[in-house]
Amino acid sequence: MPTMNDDVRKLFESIGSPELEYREVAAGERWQAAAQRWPILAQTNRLIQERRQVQIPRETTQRSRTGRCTTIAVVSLAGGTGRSTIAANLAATLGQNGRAVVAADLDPQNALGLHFGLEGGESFGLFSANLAPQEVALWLARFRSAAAVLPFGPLTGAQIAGLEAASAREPQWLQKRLAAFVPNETEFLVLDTPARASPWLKQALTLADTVLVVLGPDAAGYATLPATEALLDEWVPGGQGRRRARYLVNKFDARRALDRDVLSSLRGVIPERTFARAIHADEVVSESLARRRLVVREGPESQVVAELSALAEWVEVTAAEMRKASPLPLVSVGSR
Amino acid sequence: MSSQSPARTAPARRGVLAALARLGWVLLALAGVACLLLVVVTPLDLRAQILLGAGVFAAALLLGWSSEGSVVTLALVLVSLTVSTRYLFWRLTATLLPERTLESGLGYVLFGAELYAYAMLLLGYLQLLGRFPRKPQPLPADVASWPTVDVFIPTYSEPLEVVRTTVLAAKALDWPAEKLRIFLLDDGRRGAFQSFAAAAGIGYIVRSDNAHAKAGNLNHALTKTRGDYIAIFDCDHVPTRSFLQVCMGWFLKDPRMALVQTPHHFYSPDPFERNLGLFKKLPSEGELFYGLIQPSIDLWNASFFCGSCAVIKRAALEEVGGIAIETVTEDAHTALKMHRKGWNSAFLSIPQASGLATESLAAHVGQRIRWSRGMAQIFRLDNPLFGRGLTIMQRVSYAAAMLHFFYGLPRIIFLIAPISYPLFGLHIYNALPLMALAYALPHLAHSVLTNSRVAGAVRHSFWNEVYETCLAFYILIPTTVALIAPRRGKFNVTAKGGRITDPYFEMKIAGPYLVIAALNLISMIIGVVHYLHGEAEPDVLALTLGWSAYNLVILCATVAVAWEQRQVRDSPRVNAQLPAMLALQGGRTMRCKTIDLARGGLSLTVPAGREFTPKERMSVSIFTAADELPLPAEVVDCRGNVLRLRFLALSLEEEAVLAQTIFSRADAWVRWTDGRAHDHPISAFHSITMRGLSNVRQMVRARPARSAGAATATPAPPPSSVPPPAASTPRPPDAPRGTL
Ligand SMILES: Nc1ncnc2c1ncn2[C@@H]1O[C@H](COP(=O)(O)OP(=O)(O)OP(=O)(O)O)[C@@H](O)[C@H]1O
Ligand SMILES: [Mg+2]
Repeated sequence: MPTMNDDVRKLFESIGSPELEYREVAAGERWQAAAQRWPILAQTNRLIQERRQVQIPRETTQRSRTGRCTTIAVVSLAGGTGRSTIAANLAATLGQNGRAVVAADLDPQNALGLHFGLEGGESFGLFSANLAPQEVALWLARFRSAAAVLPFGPLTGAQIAGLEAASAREPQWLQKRLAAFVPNETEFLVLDTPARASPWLKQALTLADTVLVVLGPDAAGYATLPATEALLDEWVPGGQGRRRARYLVNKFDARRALDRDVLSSLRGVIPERTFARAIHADEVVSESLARRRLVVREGPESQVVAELSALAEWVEVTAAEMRKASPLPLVSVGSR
Repeated sequence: MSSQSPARTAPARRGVLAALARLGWVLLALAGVACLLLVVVTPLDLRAQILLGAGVFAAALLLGWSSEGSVVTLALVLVSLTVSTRYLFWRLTATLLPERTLESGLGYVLFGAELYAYAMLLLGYLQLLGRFPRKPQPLPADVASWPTVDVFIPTYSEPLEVVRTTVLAAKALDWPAEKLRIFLLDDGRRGAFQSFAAAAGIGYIVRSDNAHAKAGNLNHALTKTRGDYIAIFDCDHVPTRSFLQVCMGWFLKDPRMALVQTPHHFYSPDPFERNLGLFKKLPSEGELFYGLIQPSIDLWNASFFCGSCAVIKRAALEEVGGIAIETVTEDAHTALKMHRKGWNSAFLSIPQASGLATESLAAHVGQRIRWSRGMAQIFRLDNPLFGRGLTIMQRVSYAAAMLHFFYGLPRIIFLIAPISYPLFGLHIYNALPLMALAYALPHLAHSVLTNSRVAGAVRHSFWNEVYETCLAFYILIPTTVALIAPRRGKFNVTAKGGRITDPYFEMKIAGPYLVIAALNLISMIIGVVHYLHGEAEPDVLALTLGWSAYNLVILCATVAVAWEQRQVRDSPRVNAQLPAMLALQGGRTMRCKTIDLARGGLSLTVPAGREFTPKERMSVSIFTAADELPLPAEVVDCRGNVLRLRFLALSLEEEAVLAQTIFSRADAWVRWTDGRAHDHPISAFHSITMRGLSNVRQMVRARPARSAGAATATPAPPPSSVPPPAASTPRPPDAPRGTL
């Protein structure tokens, strides 16, 4: 059952009884009705609930981290849901909050940089070649106030195939790569990932403290949920993947009945790990990209920007909780 | 305290000590009472009485100023009682003449009025002795074990828009759907209501006649439904979603609980607040009752049903034969019957529903006529002082609630009494003026001071006078008739949800008070003329004139209420700062915050600098605990960063979301009293005087277009017979009395 809402909390505080309990009965009934209206939602919920019955033993293998920073991987198994947009603007929002943030593009599309005003023609890239530390420092210095971005780099198809082969051989491949680029003082590392399952997506998931799964407000997006959880269970040992996953609906438009029901159903079936509000669909988002600007700059008064700051706050809080709760001894790889 | 054990064990010794201590307390209390009695009965000469009065008052002021604690409050109540009793005792023993003249006869009448006021003061203090806020009780964790609830929404002639909001909010009550049924009880048998009920998916119950008005309507529905509990909302009382979870715990905790009542909160101004421009600046008239009296008598298990915003246990209701039909205040009477059968009641002082205040002064007076007649009827037909099944404090509490409505005659006596000397040369108060002052002033001053302390948060000083004066003339006859022939008269209804389009002067209501004011004024003038001719005793005259002047202040403020002000909105706006979002044409969104909301539209703060053109369309989402549903709207205007929108035609689903956004929030009414000034007797009196003066100015300037009828007020149905907004502590006439 959903937890007590703000209005009830305020009521109980006003009468001096904050300890009183309340049951969000109607909300619980609402999401089940929402799921029942659409066969895919109901069926997906059933699969999710079945997966939950599967117990995964907690494993005590050591997990390594990049530096001491919190890593957030923005993923989705469907394309075009807004991973890059969310990754870029979440990084920028965290940066605005005074955090030292690096956004890294793991998607060969090399599109993340565009959000930060890059032209896409820059030869600099996380995967383009081996770079000297001074070159990396020089690059990062370009982003003085905001979050810094590490583009994927302009690579040919053959080069990408080479990277895939290399990463398949070496489980720490991505981590080493990142360690070479991410400065020590970084507090948040935001990873934009490719939709396609690949060795380095697996490594990104293993690395991340928080896996932020972005869903479109539609049946296709919703239906990927069980597969996403399965993948997380399979790739991240000890059930950690599932525990670290957080869900987010993007491009939400409440004028559409399906959007409302998708969000309601998701909040109902995975209440503790779903961002309650969703990110609304807003033209300012695509227009910002067309202007090669961040949404936080282009439309500060838009709803989306308010939601991005709520998201940033939520991510900070959950990441902190997860670091505290993590039973694993952390191995710091650090920058070189 | 038995110590049978042969060896004198430690616990036994402690028991003896405790018994001794208790005996000590009793002796101490007796000694205290004896002392107070001595204070009451000892006669003093003028000088000594003045010294005593001034000394005690100064001490009380100091004491009150020193602490906010309840022990001090209790002490001040005791002091006030003692001083008033001393006054009454002196009055009885030193000022009444045994002879049979007109003068002394009138003197007895005045004394009778003072005695009534004293009794109400006493009863008021007695009721207030046990204030404690009752808290909601937790419900069992297993939702499946929660009981079934039927929601009754009785209606007779209110407009459909008013009823729609209530029904749609009732549907959002946070209770398991399979355990909650909502019924619209339409005594108007209107087709539009039936189709609305069908569209909303709620029950619709009608009957073939309208016998016994609202009570009959509810009783009929009882036979058609089966829920364990019945929640009753007058059709304009919109519940919050948390209403049932807040109320129901008490029933599960106490199997003998028959009733849980919550306050009647109003989100629109009543005639006093609207016509005097006081909305939200002053406690509403009903707050004394719901904020102080009900919670207080609740300690004595004597809080009673107020017709709406309550839950009743079906078993208890059936045991007393359903809602009472013998009187026109069926609610209080039903509660009385349940109390007689040994059922319990609870009052939760948490506003969990909100409604429309009476829309015009005439409607307000009409409603109060009904309440007063109903309470007088119960007093005659089923007197709480007699009969089986009640505890002493239940008897006292009910009797106080009923006796309260007999203030009509005493108040008119106080308003007219001071003219007897200047106009007719009658001395109806047989004492030296200075002596009378020395006794009466402390009595009045203490009761003002103590009342302000006890009830200042829910009723500002002297406003009682205005509220009661306004009704005194009109409840006099119904209460008297009800005492003599309790079965006569029928149910009248309170109009709600209408609007007043043009301001007008309600001559029908103000008339008698204008006459009494004129009498006081003429009496003052003639008194002065007498004095100039050396024909009057100056001290007696001075007292009379002072008394008349006080009466004039109260009367002017009362008459001021009769200037009906325009009521501009069909649906009053509710202030609420809620996060909201605009979805603009072209696909952009804008983050904003609501300022106020109503059925027809809302205003919002928007980022400065953005231009809006009138009629520009958009949709607006307001974020609450419920799922988001955007509402179509268009721009009315935008000034600075305040944007006003009007809703376009809403679907039923959208209308429901709007109703729930405005009314269903659990905390919708918790900050209502924010920003309200504290009571201070002097500033309260000043404010009343100023209202009165501006009224005089208005009377002089304007030729009032007399009559009502300018009001396009919609008639209304058998409304809740809310109980007395009882003046817990009606004071005696607030003016010095000399040898008049
Ligand atoms: N909240 C939003 N409102 C409106 N448009 C959005 C929103 N989020 C993303 N978009 C748009 O959706 C498109 C896809 O976004 P984006 O490139 O971030 O998605 P992606 O998941 O990274 O896609 P890919 O799978 O191609 O990497 C872009 O045109 C972007 O502007
Ligand atoms: Mg992308």
